[in-house]
Amino acid sequence: MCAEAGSPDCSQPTPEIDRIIHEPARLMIVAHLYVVAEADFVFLQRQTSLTRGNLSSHLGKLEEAGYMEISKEFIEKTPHTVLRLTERGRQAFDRYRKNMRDFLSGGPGKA
Amino acid sequence: MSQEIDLKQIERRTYLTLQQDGIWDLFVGLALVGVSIGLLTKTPGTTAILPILAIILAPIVKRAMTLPRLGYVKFSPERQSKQKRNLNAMTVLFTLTALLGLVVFYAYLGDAGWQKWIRGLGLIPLGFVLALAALVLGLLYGVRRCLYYAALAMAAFIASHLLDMHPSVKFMVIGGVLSVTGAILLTRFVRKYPRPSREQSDVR
Repeated sequence: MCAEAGSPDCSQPTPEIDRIIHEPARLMIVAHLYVVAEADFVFLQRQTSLTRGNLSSHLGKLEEAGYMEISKEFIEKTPHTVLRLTERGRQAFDRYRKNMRDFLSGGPGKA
Repeated sequence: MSQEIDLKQIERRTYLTLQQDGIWDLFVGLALVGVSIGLLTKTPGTTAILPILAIILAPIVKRAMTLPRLGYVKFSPERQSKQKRNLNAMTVLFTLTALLGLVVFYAYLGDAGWQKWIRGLGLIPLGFVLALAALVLGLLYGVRRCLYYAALAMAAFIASHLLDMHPSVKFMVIGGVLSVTGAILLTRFVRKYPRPSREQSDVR
């Protein structure tokens, strides 16, 4: 495949891209949760401008992957759906960022 | 598709969302307008009480209006430490401002050389400290409009001194600009972020 494409250097393997995180909406969700300790559903919806249904669906996938935890908590006597990245989720995001940096910096256009 | 993610920018934007409501601008502006009216009508009680009321009421209104619309967030330990450091810096600055205010007040009670000199400057030293407070606030919290407020405060105090205007004029001008800015920001904020229903704040 490398020979057919005529590309000069095919020795570098393509890094594994975490497809759970790679999806644009989920990438935005994970990035926002990464920079805070925790946030509720409303805050995340405001920051990402996703619709309620869309956000719920993506949160479900992230929770299924073990990257985040969703809990219902009372904060100042008001119920909130609180979202936070798990340690696994944070590590997965760190790996994702490193892999993407490596992948993009080793691209064919780079001197 | 670009995969460049500027986490610092995201964090900063997330934090600054909380400052979009204009509530502090509105309350401080109204307090200054009140100070101006107090000076005009020579009711010192109004002059003293209104800024204190603003400091007490603004966080209460913010909690009642802003937080339900924006949602709950707990920032990272790094941001929380930074907020604590900023608060300490603002406390020191506020104390210095109050002390300088006392010095200026005391300058009007005697005829010593330094008292005459301060009287000669009018309220410009006070204006300088208020401008400095706004500048530091803007730099520490990243709220750019505070830098414009700082420039406005300095210009108003200097112009008022040079044109020999009544002291109430500068407070009315600064207070008026802050109040109007705050009101516009708050209106925009409330339109952009309507209060969500209980249903809307739940994951399905």
